[in-house]
Formats: sequence, C-alpha cells, structure tokens
Amino acid sequence: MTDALLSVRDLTTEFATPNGSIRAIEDVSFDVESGEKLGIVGESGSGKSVTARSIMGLLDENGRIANGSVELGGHDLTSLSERELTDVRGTEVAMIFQDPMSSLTPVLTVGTQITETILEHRDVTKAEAREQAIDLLEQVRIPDPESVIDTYPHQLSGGQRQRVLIAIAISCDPDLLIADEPTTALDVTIEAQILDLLEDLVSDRETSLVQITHDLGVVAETCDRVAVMYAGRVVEQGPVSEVFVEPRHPYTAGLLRSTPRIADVEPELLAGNVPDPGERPVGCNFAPRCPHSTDDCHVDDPPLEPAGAASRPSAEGRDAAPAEGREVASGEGREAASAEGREVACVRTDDIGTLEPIPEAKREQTATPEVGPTIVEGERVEKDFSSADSLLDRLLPGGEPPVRAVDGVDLSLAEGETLGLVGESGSGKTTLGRLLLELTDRTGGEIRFDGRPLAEVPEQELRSRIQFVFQDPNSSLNPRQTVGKILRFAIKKHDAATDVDDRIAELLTEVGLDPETRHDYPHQLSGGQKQRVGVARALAVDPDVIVADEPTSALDVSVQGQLLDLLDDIKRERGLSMVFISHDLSVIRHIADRVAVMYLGRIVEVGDTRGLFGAPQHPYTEALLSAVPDPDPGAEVDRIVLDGEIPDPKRPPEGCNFVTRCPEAMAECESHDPELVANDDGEVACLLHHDVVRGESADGATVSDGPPESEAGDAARADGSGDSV
Amino acid sequence: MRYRYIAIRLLQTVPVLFGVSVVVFIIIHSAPGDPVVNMLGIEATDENVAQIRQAYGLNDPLYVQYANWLGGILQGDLGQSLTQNRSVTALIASRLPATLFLAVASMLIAVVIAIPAGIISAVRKGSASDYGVTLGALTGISIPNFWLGLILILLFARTYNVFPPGNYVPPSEDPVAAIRHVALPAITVGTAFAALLARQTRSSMLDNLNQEYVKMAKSKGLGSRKIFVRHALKQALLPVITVAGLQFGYLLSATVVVEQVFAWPGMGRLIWSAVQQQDYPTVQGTVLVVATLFVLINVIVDLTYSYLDPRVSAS
Repeated sequence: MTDALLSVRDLTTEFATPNGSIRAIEDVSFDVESGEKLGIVGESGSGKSVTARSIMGLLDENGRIANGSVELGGHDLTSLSERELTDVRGTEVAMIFQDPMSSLTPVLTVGTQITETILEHRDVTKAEAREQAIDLLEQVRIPDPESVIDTYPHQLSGGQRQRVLIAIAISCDPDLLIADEPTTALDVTIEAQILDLLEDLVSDRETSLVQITHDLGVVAETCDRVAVMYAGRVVEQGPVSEVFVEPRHPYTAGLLRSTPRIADVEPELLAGNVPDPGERPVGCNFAPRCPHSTDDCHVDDPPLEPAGAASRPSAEGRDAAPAEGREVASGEGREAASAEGREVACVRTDDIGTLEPIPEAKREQTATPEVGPTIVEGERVEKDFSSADSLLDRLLPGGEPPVRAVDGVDLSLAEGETLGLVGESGSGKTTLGRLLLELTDRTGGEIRFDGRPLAEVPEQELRSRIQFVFQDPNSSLNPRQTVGKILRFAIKKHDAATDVDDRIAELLTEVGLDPETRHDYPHQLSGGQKQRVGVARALAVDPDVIVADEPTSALDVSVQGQLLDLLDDIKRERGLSMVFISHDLSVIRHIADRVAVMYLGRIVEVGDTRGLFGAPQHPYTEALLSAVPDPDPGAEVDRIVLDGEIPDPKRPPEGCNFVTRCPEAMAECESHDPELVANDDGEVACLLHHDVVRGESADGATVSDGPPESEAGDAARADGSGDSV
Repeated sequence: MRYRYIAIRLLQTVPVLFGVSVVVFIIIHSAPGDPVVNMLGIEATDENVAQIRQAYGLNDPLYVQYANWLGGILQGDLGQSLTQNRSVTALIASRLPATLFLAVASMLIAVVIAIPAGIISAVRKGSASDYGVTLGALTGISIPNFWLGLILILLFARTYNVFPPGNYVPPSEDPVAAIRHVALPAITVGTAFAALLARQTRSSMLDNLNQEYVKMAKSKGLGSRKIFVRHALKQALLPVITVAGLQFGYLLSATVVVEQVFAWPGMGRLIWSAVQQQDYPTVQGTVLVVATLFVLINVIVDLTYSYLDPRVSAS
C-alpha cells in the first residue's frame, strides 16, 4: 500500500461482553515511517492501548479484530497465526508496557527474562545471551549490570524495572517499538531519565517508535507526529509541531487548552466525559461536548480526511461562535500553508479553521488571597515506619532500620489558603497529610490546630473540622453502600439535628452531581463522579480544613480540570483552607496559593506559587520543574535530568538529603544538613542560599567559618530549634 | 535474610503448640464421664477406683495434672495409656507409620491427578476437557469419603478382586503388597483432596494467565508452552501449595473415618478408641502429635514458598 514501515488501515476491534459486542476502536488508520516517532494520545477510553494491543495481537480473549489490517514490513499481522506471530514479536515489533511493577514475572531473575528473548530469536549459546543481556542493561544505563542481572524484579526500583522492560524490548533489534504509557507509573525525575533514554536508543538504532500516552507533554517532547484519539477513533493526526500549535479538531484544541501547564496560563474547562464504548453517540463522538457542533455533526461519523490548510481565523474569531470562523476559513487557506500529512475527522473543519491551543486568560494571581490567621501548624513533625512489626522481628538481630517517612517538618496553613504539597513517591507527602488529621500516629514533633496541640483537641471536634479526600475513590467509598448512605453516615455522625435528606441533596448539588445520584452505588459512577462523592463526604461535616491527597491523579485531564475547578470554587465559597497533595506540578500550579516541595521526608522549599514556579531556589525544585514535559512543542527545553534515584529512606544520605542527586552539590553538602530558612522569596533548605545547619540555628552554628547569616534562620524559627514536646 | 526468616517461622510454632496442648487438655478433661470407671467396668469397687485414680494422679488439681503432663512432654514422655498397658509414646510409634503412609499415598495420588488436570483445564478454558475437570472436581468434593470407601471395597475388592480391601502392610516389609493394600484407602482419602487441588490449580493458573507479565512474555515472541511453564506455572502453584498444606489437616481427619472403613491400624483408629474410652493421656498425646505434624507441614509450606517466590522472605 504505502512504503511505510507500519501501516494500520481501518482497524476495528471488538470485545464480547455480556451485553453484546462493543467496539473499542473503529476505523483507526495511520502510518509509521522508518525511524519515525508517532505519538498516540488520548484520554482513557479513547482506545489508544487497544490500538497498541491489536497491532501486537495481544488482545484479551474476549477481544477480536473485526476489520482492517496491520501491515508491518510487508505482511499483514492480522492474518498471521499465533505461531507465525511469535516470529514477528520481539524481532520486528516489541512492546514496552505501562506498569513496570506488574509486567515482569516476579519469580524469574532479570537475566532470565532478558536472555529468554534472545535465545528465542537468536542462534546463540546461553553464555553469549547472558553477555548480550549485560550489554543491554548497560545500554539502558543500569548501574552495575553484572549484579543486577541476577536480581529479581522486586529488588529493583520502578525506574530500574522500566529500564529492564526497555532492555527486553530492544534485545532483538525490533524495527518498531510500541511504548504503552512507559512513564506514567514513574516519578517526574525518573520519567525524564526514561524519556531521555528512549529518545537516545531510538535514534541510535533508527527504530521507529509508537508512543502511547495520555500526556500531551510527553508527545510534544518525544514525537515527530501525533495521532489524537477520542472515543475509539483517530480525530486528528499530523506533525506535532503543527497539531499542537494549530489544532484543527475541536477535541485536540479542547485537550490542549484544558491541560494544566507549568507556564503561566489558566487551563480551560473541557466539559463532559468521554463516552463509554457502547454508549457512543450517533454521528461525531465529540459532538455532545463540542463548542462548534451543529446539527450536521449528529448525523454521520466524520471520516478522517486530509485537512485543507486553513488560515488562522482572526483573533476575535478564535473562541467565538462558529459562525465567525466560517467566514475566515473559506477559500484562500486551502493552498496556503503546508498541510502535509495532516488529517482531521470533523465535518466542519473548513468552517472552523485552525484553533488556538493555549487559552488566553492569564492566571489572575492575587498574591495569597486574604490569608487569615494560622489554623494548622506543624513543628518538627516526625513519623517513622518500622518494618519490624512482630515481637520476634524485634527480638531477633538483623532487622531493618525504620523508614523515616517524615523527618522533622515544619509547616503552617493559614485560614483561606491552599497549600500545595508536592513531591515524588517516597517523599512523605501523603504521610504528612495523614499526620495532620491524626489518621496515623506521629513519632515526634507537635501539630497545633487553632493554636492548641492536637492532643488537646477532642477527636470529635478534630474530625468535624478537618476532613480528608482520598486519592482512590474506588477504595475509599464503601462499594456496598449507596451514595446517600455514605453521606448520611457522615452527616449524622457530626450533626444529628439537621434534616439529613435535604442535606444530602444540598451536598450533591454543591459538588455538581444530580441529587438522584444518592440512590446509586459507587460502581455505577464514573471516576470523576466518585471523586465528587468523596468531596461531598468531606464537606458533609462543614469542615474548616480539607486535606486532599492526590484527588485527581486517577482522573483524565478533562475530568481532572473539572474537579480542580470544583475544589477551588468550594474553597472560595466556604472560605476553607486546603492542603492539596500531589506529585503533579502543573496541577499544584493551578490550584495552590503556596507550595511546599518535599524530598525524602523533608520540606526543601516553601514559597508562594508564582514565586516558586517562576524562580525556584532549591536545585531540586528547579530540576523538578524542568522535568515536567511541556505540551508546547515550541517551548524551550532546558531540562535538568537528575542522576540516580531517590535514596532508600531507611538509609538517607549524610548531610543534605539531596546531595546524592544534586547537580550543584558542594563539598560541605555531604557533611552539613541545611535548615529550612526564610528569605525574601520564601523558605529554602539549601547551603547555596544560606549556611544554617539543621537543628543548630539557635546557637548560630553554621557551615565552615563563614559570616553567620543565621539571623534569618532565627527570625524564621522564632522558637529556636523546635524542641517542643 | 532467609535464615532469619526460617528462624522466625520455627520460633512462631512454639506458642501455637503450647496453645494446642492447653486446649486439648481442657477439652478432654471437661468431657463428662470417668475414665477409671470406663477402665474397670461397672463392677469396680470404690476402693479400686480410688486406687487407680491415685496411681494415675487423677486426684490432683487440673493445673497440677497439666503441669505434670507438660513436664513429661518436655522430656519426651507423653504418659501412660489408661486402657492399654503401654506408654502413649509407644502406642503412637506403632500407629503413626501406617497413617503417614496412607496420608502420603493419598497426597501423591491427589497431586499427580489434580495439578495436571487443573493446568489443562485452565489453559484450555471453555473446552470439553475444562468442563470434564470441573465436573469431576465437583463430584469429587461432593462424595462423602466413608461412602466412597465402601463402594470401592464393594467394586474392587469384592466384585472384581483387583485390590485388597485395606489391611496395612508396612512398605519396609513388602513394598509391592504395601502399595496394593494402600490403593483403595488412599483413593478414598485422596479423591476430595484431588478435587480441591484441581479447582485451586485451575483458578490460580487462570489468574496468572491474565497477568500483565504473561502478555509481556507473549510480546517477546515466546511460544505458548514456554509462557505457561515458565511465566505462569511456578507462581500458579504457590496458592496450590498453601491449600495443600492447610488441607493436610483435612487429610489427617479423614483418616479417622477411613481407617475405620478399611480396618487400617493408624492414628485415626487409635484416637477413635481413646476418645471412646476417655483415655486422657492417649487422646492428649495423639492430638498433640497430629497438631505438631500439621504445624510442621505448614512451616514447610512457608519455607517452600520462600524458595519458590523470591519476594516472600524479603518482606
């Protein structure tokens, strides 16, 4: 058909379900040239993973390819037998799976899992295969490959496991690599490492890459072309530099505009949800959510067709009614700009013309809006988790040291403020959040609520004034109770007097749900709806403070945006204070007034959002910010890729916690542990900015004999070194 | 790390066994009736009874009796049988081999049949062989073992004289005869066990075949045989082994009934008669030995686990 390496044509995959067969993807077509990097991007339910698995022939047993072809290197993979496919998999096409935790067989060593692939496809001895495996581990930049090869997957970190998966995938030099969300399960700094690695491997080996992801930033940074999928169809494709700059499909534009960015723009709302397969509307799947839709859109599925190069509508027309766009788009644009390889599935594309990927509205950043007095204050808060849980474990020698999850953290939350707590996994952010509510006992330090130590606040009062929104609504809502019952319990527990039914309806309305939702069970709701119920439950007791632990991390971009807006509105209307915990800097940027960055149980930097994002002080904050992939392909990438991984919290490094990975580490950092000290721009724990050593600030003990700058430290810590009870 | 794990598991059995000894002691002593009266018959004079009670220390307070018994155990002495003129240790030593032989034979039969059946059933899910295995397992679980024993005797010992109807022959004396004699009782005990194992194997194999790493193995281009054996089977067997270990208790309790049916001179019959005659020391001793066996088997299961699954001893 074409001279492309991979040519997918009209691919349609069906899954048999008890309610009949459901089409997960329909008429998906795209090409991948030799050496090209194609990104397939979409929200969950868009069919991007099904597309990858259809290509590989790895569908679940109830799935089947109903129509279409997948031509790879001259043969149609859909017509090959399972036996013939085994010769193709691994050598011509290989896949990198999403979750490194579950994609390696836990009972086999890393070496076995790499060499078996080589032995399967190459005529080599076991010893040669082992040598090749060590070489591969080196290529994926695993330190000390000779010993790693004999370890089991559980002994490796997530990042290392992902490297092993990559090593397996490239072991037999496939022409095409399919990477299915290869970095989604990883931390930002590790993600940056892996993306770098993939980029290098692919260009060194001239391998083609299909990168499947929900993250527009990842596509912008790593791919040449992009196919945007929505509800089982490709709605737009073309070069990343064009699609992300001048999107033609309203969904592409909506996705781009609703994505929270590090840059100083206010993300827009993309209303509605991706329809479930089987419940897709007649006509264009996006029509019900599309601001440009007309009656024509509800008639037929729009085919994916080459997009005429439309000129950009006038500035007034960009977001305005479609009628205005129509005038601009006709005629002259067609031959004008290069429309090479751009395809869009929209019947109105000629009328709409190109769209604007970035919302105009700048963040109206009132510097920390009307902050009241401090409501929650933590001082030298500590939490150890001991791995020795049984008596025998403690009596016998050779046990593990405890994990110091939170290591002497000071923080404060003012009334009406949103404090963003950001950090990678293992930074202790979730534990700190839980400590604030006494959901877990602290090992040391003091937390004050309204000026009183937590021990003096009656449990009943504490529970009705601070509430928690959990990360995973699937496990935090009782599956056997209706929404009404869940809320009823919370309401009655704290205020038996009110009319419960009215209150339930009120709460559901407040979180944007139909009051009739009360009769539903959690499994009948979508992820976003479930999380709204979680918010409603937290609001049921009229709290003053909400601690939200990654409330949006399980949600798609558009749903995430909706929930963030909801939380922000509720916070404003009720004058709540909020601690918002997240690993996602763009989300934090969007919602927080002030940000605390955590690393290995410590807060390394605190500052107001604009200041911290604009001019980070701590090298870790700086690296973290630079590691977030930006969906703007024109963005200047000056990425700082941190080496190594987060150290084992059982054995934190001497001196500064961050010293092992810090690009600016100095000699004294290895022996001196910096205090969190206030300066003009916030607070930072880094010897580049001051020389106050932890725990000794009161005495003015400083690094070396430099001029004591510890006045600042003393000012920040009026109470001295915090030896409170 | 592994030795530490083994040490912890072994030390953990001590309080368990101590608990077992207390419970057994209390239960048997709170049963109504008097063992001495049982022993001497209804014509015994009060004097005789008192004498015997004195001789066996049955007049002491219960805690003293318990302490004496426990003290004896620590020295390897389980006490003297009230009904037979022998030590409990000697009684158990004479009966235990027969029961162990039966248990091991049953287990072998079960494992040899059940695990391949379970694997085939999982790999060919939805096929005729899958339904066959599932149906067979359901039947096997549903048949009461005493009934099965009787039917087997009727069929294979009376009607077609293929196997002898029980009667223990020690394998050390005549291995062939021993196997012939153990066949019917072992099938009787092993059937339900096999059924259970087959179901467990099937479901845990299916579970593993749906794992992401099996897809990963497939994406490497491995053939299905390698995928099943290397990437699914080893882990699928983990829960099977756990179930097998836990069900060893079932196996031992099944022998109580089945040994009656096949006149098998094992622990089951010993316990049976000792309970009937309220032979305190014998009941206590046999139950304690059985419990110890059970606990040890499960320690072995845990250790096997740590060998098969590298994650276990680490966590």
